[in-house]
Amino acid sequence: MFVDATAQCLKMIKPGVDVPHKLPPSMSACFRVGSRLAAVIKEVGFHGDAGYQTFLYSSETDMRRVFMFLIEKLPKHSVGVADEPLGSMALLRRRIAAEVARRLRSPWTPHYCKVKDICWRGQPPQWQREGCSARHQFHAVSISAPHGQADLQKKVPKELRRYYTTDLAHVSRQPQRHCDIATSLLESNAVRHTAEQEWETEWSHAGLASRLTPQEYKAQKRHKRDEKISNYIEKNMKEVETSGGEIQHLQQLVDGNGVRSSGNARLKGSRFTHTEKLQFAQDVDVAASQLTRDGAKITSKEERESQQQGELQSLQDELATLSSRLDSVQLQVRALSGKKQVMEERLPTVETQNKEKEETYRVKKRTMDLLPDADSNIAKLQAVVDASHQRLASLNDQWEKIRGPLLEEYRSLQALGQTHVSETDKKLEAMKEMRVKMKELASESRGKEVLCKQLMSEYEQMTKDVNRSTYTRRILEIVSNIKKQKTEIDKVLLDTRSVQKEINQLSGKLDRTFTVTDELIFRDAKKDEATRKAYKYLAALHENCRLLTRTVEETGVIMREIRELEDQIEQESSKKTLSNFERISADYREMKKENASLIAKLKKLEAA
Amino acid sequence: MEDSDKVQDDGAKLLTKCPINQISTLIHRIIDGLCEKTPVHYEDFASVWGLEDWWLVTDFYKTFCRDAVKKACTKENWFQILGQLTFMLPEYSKEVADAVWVRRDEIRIQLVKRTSEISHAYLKDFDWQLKLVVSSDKLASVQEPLLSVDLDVDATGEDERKFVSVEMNKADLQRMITSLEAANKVPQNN
Repeated sequence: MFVDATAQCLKMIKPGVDVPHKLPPSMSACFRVGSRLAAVIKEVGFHGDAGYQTFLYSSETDMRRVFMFLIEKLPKHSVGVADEPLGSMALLRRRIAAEVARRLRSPWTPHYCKVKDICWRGQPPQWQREGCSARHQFHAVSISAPHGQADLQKKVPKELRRYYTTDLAHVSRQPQRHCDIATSLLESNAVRHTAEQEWETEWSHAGLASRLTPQEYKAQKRHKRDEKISNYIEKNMKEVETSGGEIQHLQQLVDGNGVRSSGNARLKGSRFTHTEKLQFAQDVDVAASQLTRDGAKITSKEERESQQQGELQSLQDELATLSSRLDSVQLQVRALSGKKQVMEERLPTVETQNKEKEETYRVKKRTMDLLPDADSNIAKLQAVVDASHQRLASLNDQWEKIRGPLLEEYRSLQALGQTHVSETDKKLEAMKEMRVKMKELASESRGKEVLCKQLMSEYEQMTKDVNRSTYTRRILEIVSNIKKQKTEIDKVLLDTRSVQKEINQLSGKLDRTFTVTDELIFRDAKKDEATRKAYKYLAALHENCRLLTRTVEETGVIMREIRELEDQIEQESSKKTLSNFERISADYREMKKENASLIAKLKKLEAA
Repeated sequence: MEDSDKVQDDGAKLLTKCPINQISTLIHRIIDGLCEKTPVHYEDFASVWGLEDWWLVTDFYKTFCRDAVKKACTKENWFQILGQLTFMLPEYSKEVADAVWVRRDEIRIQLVKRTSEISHAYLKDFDWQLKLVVSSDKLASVQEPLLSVDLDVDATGEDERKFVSVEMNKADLQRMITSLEAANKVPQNN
C-alpha cells in the first residue's frame, strides 16, 4: 500500500520515472525495489533519512514524513483544476451532511403529529418532510387555460368568451385528484417550453436556410407530411385490393386527410402521423376479417345449406362464365387500346407529312403561274430581293443600336442581382453566428450566476474575522515574550562579560603583585638564608596555584564536552540504530539464505 | 338497429327537459370527462332527470361529441345533424354545437391519444427520482447518483396496469436513452 502510493506520487511528480507498484515476494527483489524508491525520492529532493528499510519496515513517523514531502512536491496546477468543478458537488455534500446532522439531533415524532409528513421544527424551526407515507406519483393531466387574452385588440369569438367566463373550471378543479394540480401545471408548462424550444432550434437550423416566412415553412412541412401519409396508405391499399368498397372508403379518408390534419398542432406532428398510419392499417385489417366472418355465418346454418348449395352452384357457374367473358373482353379491349395507341403515335407524323406536301404544292403552283412572263417576273423578283436585302441591313443596324445598351443594362442588372444574393447570404451567415453567440453568452452568464451564488454561499458560511484578532493577539504575545527573553539573554551576556573582565583584572593584579614580591624577596634572598627559603616557597606556591586554575578550566571544558556527547547519544538512540541494525542483519541473513538456496539450485541444475 | 335509434332519439329528446341555461355547463362537463378531467356529476342534475334518463342523456352526448370531432365537420354541419333529430329545439342544438365547437381541439387531441394506444402494451406514464448514494457499509464516501424510473405500462389485452420500477446508474441510463431515441426515430423516418 505504502509502496504503491509512493510510486504513484513519484509518477505524478516526475512523469517518465519507472518505479514498481508492488513488493515482490523474494527478499532480494524487495531490497532492490526499496533502495530504488529511496534513491528516486532523494533524487527528487528529500532531505530526511530514507533507505530501503523505510519502505520495507515503515514506521508511522517515516511514512508521514515521506508523504508530507511528496504531497508538497505534487504539481500544484492539477490540484487547482480539480478544486474548481468540485465546488458545487462539495457544497451539496456539505449541505447534505448539515441536514442529516440536524435531523439526527431532532427527536422522532409519531405520524399523527404530522400533517402529510410535514412538520415545523428544528433549531431554528424549519418546515421539513419526514417519512414517505404521503408520497404520491408524479401524475399529470392536460390542463386548459384561456389564451389569446393578452392582445386586447384581437376579438375573441363570442362562444369562446362565454366558455371562458362561465364554464371553464378553475385550474385547481380540473384534475380529478387534488394532488395532481402541481404536477399538471408543471407538465403543461414544460410541454409548452419544449415545443417552443424545438421550434426555435428547427427554425434556426432548417427554417432560416429555406428563406421562407414561418407560416410558409409550416405549411410546406405539413404538406410534405400529408403527402407521405397518403403515399403510405395508397401503398397499403394496393396490398389489400380485395374489398372494393373499403378502398373507396379509404380513398375518401385520404382525400379528407388534408382537411383533418390542417388543424393539427405542430408539436404533435410526428406522433399524429404515426397514429394515423396505424389507424388506417387497422381499418383495413378489420374490413378483411369482417368479410371472412360474413362468409362463415352463411355456411354455419345447416338447414339452408342444401337449398343454397344449388343456388350457389348456379351463381358460381354464371360467375365463371361471366368472368371468362370479362377476361376475353378485357383482352380485346387491351388489344384495341394497343392498336389505338399505335395509331395515335402515327397520327402526328402523318399530319406533318401532309403539311409539308401542302407547302410544296403551293410553291410549285405559284412558280407555274409565273412561268409565262418569265423575264419581267425575274426582274421583279430581283428588285424585291434587293429591297428585302436593304431592309434586312437597315434592320440589322437598328437592332445593333438597340441591342448595345440593352445588353449593358442586362449585365449591370445581373451584377447587381449577384451582389444582392451574396449580401443576403452574408447576412444569413451573420444571423446564424449571432444566434449561436447569443446562446453561448446566455449559457455563460447562467454558469457565472451559478458560480457567483456558490461563492456567495461559501463566503457566508465562512467564519468571519473573529479568529484574526485572536491570532494577532497571540502573535503579539509571542513577540513580547521573545523580547523579554532577549533582554534576559542580554543581561546574562553582560554578567558573563563583567565576570570575565574581573577575572582578567584579578589575574593582572596577581601577576603584578607576584613580580613585585618576587623582586623584593629575590633582593633580600641574597643576604638572608630564611628569605631564600621563603622565596623558594613562593615560587612553588605560585606554580601550584597556576596548575590548580588550569585544571579547573580543563574540567569546565570536559564538562561541556560531556554534555555535547550526551546530546549526541540521545539523538542516536532516538534513531533506533540498534533495532535497525538488527533488522538489517536479519535481512542480510535472509538474503544469504536465499543466495545459498539459489546456488544449490544452480548446482543441481548443473549436475542434472 | 331500431332499438338503438330509439335510444338515441330518447337521449336527444330528454335534453329538452333541462333548462336552457344549464345546457352548456352540462356539455362542457361531459367533454371534461372525455378529456380525463373532473367528470360530470349526477348530483348537479338530479332535479332534472332520473338516473336512467341521466345515463341515456350522457351516453348520447358523449358519443355525439366524439363523432362530431371525428368527422371533422363544420359548425353548421353539427347544427344540421342536431336539427334532424326529432324533438330538438333549434336553440338547444345551437348551445350544443357552440360548446363542441369551442372544445374541438381538446377532444381531437384526446382522440389522437386514444388511437396511439392501440398496441397491445404501451407506456402510459413515467416518473423518475434522482438519488445520491452518500455512503455504504463498506465505503465512507460513495457519492454515486442513481436514477429510479417508474414506468406505468398499460396492457390493453389484459386490461390491467403494471408498474415497472428500475434503478439505474449513469451508464445504464445512457443506454436506455439511446435505445429509446433509436425507437423514436423509427416512426419518424418511415
